Amino acid sequence: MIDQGTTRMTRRIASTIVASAALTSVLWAQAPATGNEDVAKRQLESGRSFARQGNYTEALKDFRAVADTHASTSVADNALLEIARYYLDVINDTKQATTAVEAILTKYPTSDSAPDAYVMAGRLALSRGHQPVDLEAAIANFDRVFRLFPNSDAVPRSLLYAGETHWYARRYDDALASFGRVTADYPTSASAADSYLGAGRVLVSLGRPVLAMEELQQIRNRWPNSPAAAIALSRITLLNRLFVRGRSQAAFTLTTETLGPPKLQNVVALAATTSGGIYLATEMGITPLSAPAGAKAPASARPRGLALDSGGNLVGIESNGVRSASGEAVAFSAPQSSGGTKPLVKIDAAAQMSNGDWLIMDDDEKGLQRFSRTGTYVNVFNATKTPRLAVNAIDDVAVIDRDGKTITIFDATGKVVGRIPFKGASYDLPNPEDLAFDSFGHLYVLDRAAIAVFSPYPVPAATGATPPATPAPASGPRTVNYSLVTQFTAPEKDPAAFRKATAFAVDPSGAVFLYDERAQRVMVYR
Amino acid sequence: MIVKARRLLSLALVSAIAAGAATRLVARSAPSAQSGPQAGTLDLLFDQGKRLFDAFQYEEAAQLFDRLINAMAVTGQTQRPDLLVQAYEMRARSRFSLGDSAAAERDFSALLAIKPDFRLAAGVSPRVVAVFEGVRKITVGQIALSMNPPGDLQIDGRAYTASPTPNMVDMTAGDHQVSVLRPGFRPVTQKVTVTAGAVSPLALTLERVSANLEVVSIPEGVEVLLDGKSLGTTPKGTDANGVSAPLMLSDLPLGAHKLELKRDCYVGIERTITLAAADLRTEPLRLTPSTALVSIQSSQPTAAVFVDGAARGQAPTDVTVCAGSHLIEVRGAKGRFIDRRDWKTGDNATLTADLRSAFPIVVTKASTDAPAPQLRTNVERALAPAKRVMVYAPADAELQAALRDETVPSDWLVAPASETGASVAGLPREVTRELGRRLATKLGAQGVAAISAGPEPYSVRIALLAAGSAEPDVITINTADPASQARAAELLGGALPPIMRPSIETAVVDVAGTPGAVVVRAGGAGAKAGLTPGDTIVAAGGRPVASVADLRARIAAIATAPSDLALDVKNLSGVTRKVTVTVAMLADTIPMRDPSVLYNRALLDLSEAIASAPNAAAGSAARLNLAIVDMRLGNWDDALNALKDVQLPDGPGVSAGTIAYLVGLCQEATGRTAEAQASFAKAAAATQSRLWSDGPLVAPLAQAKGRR
Repeated sequence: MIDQGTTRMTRRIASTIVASAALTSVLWAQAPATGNEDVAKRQLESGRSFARQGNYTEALKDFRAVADTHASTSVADNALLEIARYYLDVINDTKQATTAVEAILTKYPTSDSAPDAYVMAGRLALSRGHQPVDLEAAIANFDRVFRLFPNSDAVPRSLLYAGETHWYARRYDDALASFGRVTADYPTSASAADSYLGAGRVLVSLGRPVLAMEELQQIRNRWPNSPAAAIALSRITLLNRLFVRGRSQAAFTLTTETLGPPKLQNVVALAATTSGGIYLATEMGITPLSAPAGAKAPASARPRGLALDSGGNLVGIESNGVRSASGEAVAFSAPQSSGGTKPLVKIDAAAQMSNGDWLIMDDDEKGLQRFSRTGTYVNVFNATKTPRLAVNAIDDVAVIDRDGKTITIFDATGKVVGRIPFKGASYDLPNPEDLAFDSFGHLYVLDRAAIAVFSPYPVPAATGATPPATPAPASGPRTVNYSLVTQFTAPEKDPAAFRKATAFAVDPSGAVFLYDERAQRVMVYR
Repeated sequence: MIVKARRLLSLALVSAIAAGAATRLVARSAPSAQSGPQAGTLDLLFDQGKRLFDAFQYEEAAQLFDRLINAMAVTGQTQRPDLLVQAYEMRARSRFSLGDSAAAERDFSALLAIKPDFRLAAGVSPRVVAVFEGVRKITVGQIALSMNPPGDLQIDGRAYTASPTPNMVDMTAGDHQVSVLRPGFRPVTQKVTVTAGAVSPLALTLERVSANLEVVSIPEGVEVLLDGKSLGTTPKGTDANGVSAPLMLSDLPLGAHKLELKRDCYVGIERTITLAAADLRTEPLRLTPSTALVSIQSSQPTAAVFVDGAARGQAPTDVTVCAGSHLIEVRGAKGRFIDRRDWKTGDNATLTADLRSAFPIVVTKASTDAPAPQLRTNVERALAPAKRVMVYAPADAELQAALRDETVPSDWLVAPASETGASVAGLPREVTRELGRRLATKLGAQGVAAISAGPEPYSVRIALLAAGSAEPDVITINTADPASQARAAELLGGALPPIMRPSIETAVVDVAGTPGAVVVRAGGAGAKAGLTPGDTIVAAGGRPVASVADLRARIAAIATAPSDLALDVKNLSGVTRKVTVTVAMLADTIPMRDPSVLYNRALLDLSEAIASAPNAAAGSAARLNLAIVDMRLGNWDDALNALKDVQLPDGPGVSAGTIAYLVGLCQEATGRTAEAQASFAKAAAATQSRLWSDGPLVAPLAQAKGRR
């Protein structure tokens, strides 16, 4: 028998439990909102930590978790930005990067990640190519950053990229203005030094190499220990050789440097990477002659040549494709008139455009073929045949047309924009063997016994007089006039002479490394 | 019979007259019947009695003296013992004359009880004297009284003085109570029995139980401490030499004590004194003044000097201060110095007050975690090491006086700007400028500061607004992070970028593999010295040059220009020659948006630089840079006015094109579009001009402006 007192107590206890449960559930309902934010922040930092260590797989997991599971937190946009950075800067997957960027701009348009998202959108536009439509899209995105977020620290970055884009579009004054705004308004930003690099390149394009050298020297004066200072030194050295020393002396001087083994034979190519590594390809393989510590060469068994990808990294040209230093190989197959495709097996030359497309010259094919980054056939770039080709920063392509006895320059679509006859008024290149562009766009041509450098820009007179003002871009088809900057050749008995150069590389400082078949060695000219 | 009758009649008559007189006197003078006869009445009675006595009317006299004695007894008028004694004497003599010797003896006995040492005056009847002496012999004895140390004592409540030498004191026979009460001695209470006709010795020796100490000092007003306890200050004396009056310290325990004398601005004295069984008086203890002489110099002449808030003239000045800690403040038109210094006695110090631009805190936006006073203290302490700027909290009264009649928003200057660039709750620029100027003037400062607690713990936003500026510089510090504080102090105190640089007007570059600085453009002084493109400078001033940095360092070390600099130069052929180049001092400009520059401080520094420019070129450079700072702070008209007076030649670096571009910016900002276009066009034509010596080219910037 339950007495009344016990019943009352029981009821009291029960109601207390119910009230506590209700209170707990209310508190529990409130807790996730606060807890989510903290968890999301911690997971974002976890992802960043993994990324710093190079463990991108785990980093991506954390970023995805934040973006997907904690989409309402204040750091979801940051996670998407990290995802976009990974895809664009680490693995160059522009499609995934675009998805992440678009997610930021649609879901978090006023977040603190939005300015950098616009910068990335601009860069993604550039990665599609340097056609006018791509450049305009890029500029529009960069412009949005300082229009919509004038106080954001992404503004100097956007101005820097805008400047580079204007340069690609050959709007040199706009490029200089953009770079100038970075250094004027953001003199201590991380983009300031690179702005001077950009301005230097523009000034060369305007035919003012000496002013360009002064501009580049500012980097060394203000940021002497920066990576940009090292780049500036290389570029100043290059310009000094062509436009100061080369005015009154031979631009190239043979050095006593010895690279590679003596009695070198069967050399098929030389290449210089943007990091300054020099590589030699023989029929037996690819060997670094002078490379940064830890640098690897593509493991091509029987290379037929060397090329640089759009990132300036070494690529081995093999008979049927290209192979990177990391071992990634891309094979190419071209469609046949009879239907179907046939793998290419006699590739002689290759070069990668800024959007990742490959230009491939196969000896069995009629002309220069274009393939996508992954090897998918695109089209015939041009019907020309060439043993060598080179691509510059604005996707102009130079080839050696032996039949036409010219160096022909094409734009990114395959249209001819310029020609350099083998013989000119002040030069003679009877046997051009190789081609290379430097970082400014000067074209170096290796003849068997000479090196000639041509410039698509106005060349200052020997007196150093200022060249005429740059004309506004003309309407109609684009043409580029290359003029000789300097030619180097040495008398036969001169130790600096070479007689049967078959391959060369031009490093970032404009030094030339050539292989003389007769001397059977690599000769270095600085 | 008739004589007796006549005598009785006279007695009655006299008695009546005396009674009547006494009554009238009593009635006239006494406020009530109960208070008894007044003193004057008693004297009258005595006089009457004396006249009756002298008139041989002894009976009447006796009666009168009866009444007098009774009246004094009734009313307790024992304040007149002398009168009572006389009354007793006269009654006794009257009674003796009436043949009542017994009564006379009783009166003499009563008299001696009052005054044991009474003696009859000469001329009194020998028979009376004999009676008196007879009574005295059986009534009075003597005490041979001596006391060591001498002093006062009381016997039966009556004061006596005793010395170590016995002194005879008449005392009635019987027991008497002796008491001695003197500071520093054990109290004495004892009984002495006096035998009539005999001498009773009473030799008292006082026992010292404590001491008295009298302290005398020079000067007066000195605090006296005994064994650490303050016991007073020495009073002012009358001595013209400044000797104080003695300070009596009573009832001090015997033994050794530490005596200290202290007074501000004097060196304290410390002594050990031993108090023995004797009072002690110190000789005048002289304190030596404890002062220091400080010579106060100032970086700004005629700055006012304050010591502990009191004005002490203008710098340079010598001030004498007490040894110890003092707050020194020097206020000049262009800055302020505040510091607390400690000086020791005899110091002869020089204090050079480097005046710093003063920014008093006028707005404090506190938080619950950081109340306003704590916030201000933290900021003052954090920024104290800054060399050129002083941020401080003014006295509350001073601040309130300055803010009276002003409307200052609670977050003035420290409201955070939004991402879109619009400041939150800000005042219009002109209002900010004028308000800042007024407040700075009222507070005698060079600008004002505002602080607000930041979102992070211990973080503080500090806004500095110079007088005349419309836009503050804002820095954020963490007051708990020494590194953050050090950075802020460095930012506040760092020197401005140079506004003039020595230059050889020649462009040089580094070339890989070529030790030295390679000439790419020879201009001005370099061209005059014969430098040509391609030359490599391998030594300067006799020291090797391995790079452009080396050459820049050699040139930067030249303090005055023009100066000659010897160069070793190698041409393209490798041939070396020596040239001498005349280094010129050229104007340079500070960037308009450099986060390492505090533009509000620069406004003050450059205004001063203009005023103190040693030559026209330096003044011109200062004006040019002041214009840039004005532009940065939104003072476009001021900038334009300053630029009008700056002339630079055409050429590379900071030159005419630079001025044209800056003028264009000012004109653009003030709506003078057409003039701006013309200026930009001029700047666009100056293809080598730069915004600052290693800054961007102005031509492209001007062209972009022109296109817009």
